[in-house]
Parts: sequence; C-alpha cells; structure tokens
Amino acid sequence: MMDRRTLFAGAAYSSTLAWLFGGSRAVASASGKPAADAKAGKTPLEFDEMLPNADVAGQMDFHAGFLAWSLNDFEKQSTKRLQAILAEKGIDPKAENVDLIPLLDDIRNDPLMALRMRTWLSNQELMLGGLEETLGRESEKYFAEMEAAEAKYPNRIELNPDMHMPDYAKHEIHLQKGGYVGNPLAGYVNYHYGNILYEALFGSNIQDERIALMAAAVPLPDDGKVERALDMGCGTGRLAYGLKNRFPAAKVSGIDIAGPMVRFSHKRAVDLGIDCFFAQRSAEATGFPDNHFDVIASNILHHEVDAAATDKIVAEAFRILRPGGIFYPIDHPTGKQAPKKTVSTKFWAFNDRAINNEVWRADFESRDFGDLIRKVGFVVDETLPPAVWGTGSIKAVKPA
Amino acid sequence: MVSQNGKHETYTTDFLTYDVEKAAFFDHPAIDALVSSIVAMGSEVWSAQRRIKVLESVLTSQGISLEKVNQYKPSAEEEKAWRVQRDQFIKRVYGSLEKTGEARTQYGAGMDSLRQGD
Repeated sequence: MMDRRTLFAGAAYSSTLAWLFGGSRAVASASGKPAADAKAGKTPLEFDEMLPNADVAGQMDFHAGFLAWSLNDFEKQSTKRLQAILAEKGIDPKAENVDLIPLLDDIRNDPLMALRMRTWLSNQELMLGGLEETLGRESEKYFAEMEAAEAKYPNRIELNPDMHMPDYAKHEIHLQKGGYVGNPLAGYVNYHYGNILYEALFGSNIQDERIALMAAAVPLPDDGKVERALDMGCGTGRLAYGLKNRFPAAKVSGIDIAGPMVRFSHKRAVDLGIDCFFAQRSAEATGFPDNHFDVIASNILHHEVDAAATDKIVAEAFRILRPGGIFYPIDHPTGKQAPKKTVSTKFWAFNDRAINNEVWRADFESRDFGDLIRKVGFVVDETLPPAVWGTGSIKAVKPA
Repeated sequence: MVSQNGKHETYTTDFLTYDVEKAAFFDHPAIDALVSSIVAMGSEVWSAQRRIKVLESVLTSQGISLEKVNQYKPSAEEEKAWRVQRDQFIKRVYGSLEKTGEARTQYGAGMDSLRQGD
C-alpha cells in the first residue's frame, strides 16, 4: 500500500484538483485497491479509513449516490413543484419577505414534495443507522486504535472527562445518534458520514481533498509569519491536517468540545503521520495565552453553536490571536453574502431544521457574521472569493 | 463514562435526542413505511451488485472462470446459513412495514415559531 502521508499530501496539493475524481467506497473496502478510476495520468485516490466490510461499504456507496440524486435532480423537480404551488396562490416565487408558515401545509401535503422529504429522511436514517450499527459492532477494534495512538503520542492529545458540556453541543445534529458528544465512536461515524455528504455535494473528500482547498485558501498575515495555527471546532481534524500540510513548520492545534471527535482526530493524524496537537477544549474559553496564534481557522463551526456561544467564540479568537494575525471562519454565507430569502430557500432551511436537526443554522444565518466579527475589533474583508463553493467569505485581521 | 463492558473510557456525556423516526409525510403511515422500504431495498440491491463486481474481479484475477459460479451448488450448511441471512435481509428491508400501526405526527409540527432564516 502506498504510504499514507505521501498519498494524502499528494492528493491534497495536486494542482489537478484530485477531489474531482469520484470515490468508490465498496471496492476500496473489499480489496484495499485504489478506490477511484482516476483520469488518465492522475494518481487514483485511496481510502485510509476503511468501513468494516464490503456489504456496508456498498450500502454507503448507495446512500452517497442517492443523496446526490436527491440534492440535485430530485430537488430541482421538487423546487419547480414548490414554485408551481406558489404560482397557483398568486405568489411570486422570487419574492422575498413572504411568510413560509401559512404555506407549509399546502407545500408539505403535495405528494411530490412529501416524497422528496420522505426519501431524503429515509436515506439519512438508513445511512447513519447503518454506520452506527456496523461500526458499533467493531467497537473494541476502534477503542484499541484510539488507545494505541494515545499511548504512542500522549503529548499530542489532551482529553477532559470533566468537561462541562453546554446544551447547544448536545444535539443530534444531522440525526447522528448521540450527536458528537454521546457516542464514543462519533468521530468514526462522522468521518464516514462526511465522506458520503461531500461525495454527494462536491465529488469526493476521502483524502480530505476538499478540506485541503480550504486550508489553501487561508490568507497569510501581512508579515507572512505562521508559527502557530489553530483549527477551532476541529470535528474530525481534517482542517487541522490541511493547515499542518500547508504550514509544515508551524505548531498546529485542533480543539473540539467533544471528546470522541478529538480522539478520532488524533488517531487518524497518527495514522497519516501528521504532527498536530488535539485538545478537548471549548472554543468559548480555549485556555491558550493572549496573542498566541498567527492563524485561526474553522470549518462550519459557527452555525452549529448558539448565538451566545458564537459571540464568545469570536471574542476568544480575538484574544488568542496575535496582532496582525488572521481569523478565517469558513461557514454558511450570511448578511450581505446570503442568498435571497425566497419561500423556496426558507422551505429548504426549514426542512434542514425539521428533519436534519440543524438546530442553530437559522439563528446563525439571521445575523450578519461579518458585522458581528467587525464589532469585536477585527478589520474584516468580505471581498475575497469563498474558500470553496457555497461558503461565505470572511477574512478578519486583528489590528496591530 | 466507561464503555458497556467497563474496559474503556469513552469521553462521552449525556446528549439531547431528536426522534424523527415516526415523522409522517403522507396521509397514512403505511405509505411512509413503504417509501422507506424502497430506499432500503435500493441500498441492499446496490450493495449486493457491488460485492458481486468485486468477487468477479477477484475470481478472474485468480484465473477462475465465471462459469464455475453459474454451476455452483451450495452445501446443506451453506443453505442453512444463507436462509438466516435472507431472513435478516427481509427484516432490514421490510421491517418498517411493521410500524404502520403506530401513531405518527406530522413532521415539523409545533415548529411554527421557528426562525425562517430572515
């Protein structure tokens, strides 16, 4: 098998945008052979974290394909139907400031709309249920992996069994059972779920290719110095890996409030040969010294915490960033960058809450994140291209 | 917390559940169950097809003709084990039909006060 670090780095920084190659979860799990039919002359991608067997790998391959179809062709058709329902009521589908709630029953009771939401939910339940069941059956193996990594590099991980867990972090976001904090294998589940979601949305992320693009987009401080970098709310650790690969001489840390996520991040970093420090800490109060980091980045952290926590996290980022340092939060677009609030976009956002349990998304998107960051004292630039398609763009500099 | 067998620290905490298993999208819950079964069936069928492709690739790479697959006769032990697996398969695919008698609530009920992103 190809050295994982070489494989990762090669894929992550290939100018050929290797993430555009498709994935092939089933064959990879069954044989360990290269997972994708790479285009001619390109290095094929390979999974470094295998699903337990070829059967579940095949099922997850289906769920990725089904999700892609659901979010593309099926959603286009159901959006057309939604617009037709509005037209029948004399409502301009492009109009903003139309209240969704009085229209909900008419939309939900339409057979096509109901079928779109029902099939999406069934696919999500089967996907996550299948992952949780099959990974759970092999829990001894996964515990052993994490414990071995912790024994090998104890100084690269910090866990806090007494962590005070705020309620906002306890939700079963995306219907993941136990959420990020209640299932000891949450990192494994979320890693595979992330692969499926990213494959459906963007093509592939099995070697963190898409996250590497985010790391590559992080702006440099004016003086170019990056000795310490932080991934806030690191989840499965992928952005931290990307930062370490981009800034190999820097000390890169990843923090997350969820112990299982921190353990998986550390375990996989050890597997990949990436030297990062992962700690179970709250982004609201990180424990790092004032003016400590040159760069602080995050990937979809802020729409998964409540508004009060977001305020504290932004203030904490300001405190621990050195003057001239860069704060680069990658998240949903808000304020001036947000898409139009038509009935259609409101309906899909409503469903994201109702059947995907995105508890805090609407609250996050109801505020202008750029303005919020500016008020803390950062100098904010919202004119750069987004890190990747679909995200907002905020570059914040702590004034010297 | 420690794991169920008491061997491992889990670093987990309590969490807030969110149950949409009984969410209704259609007038009768049987239709919801049927749709779930259809999605599950697709997952099983595609998984099996992918596995067969893997097996055929492995066999041919080992010089084994696929004609031997067509001529294969399972042993009694295999037949017995496969029946158990078949029944598990049926449960996975059609198990949701058993829940059609349970009460459901319309999805999104009680959420009228939710923000709509505006």
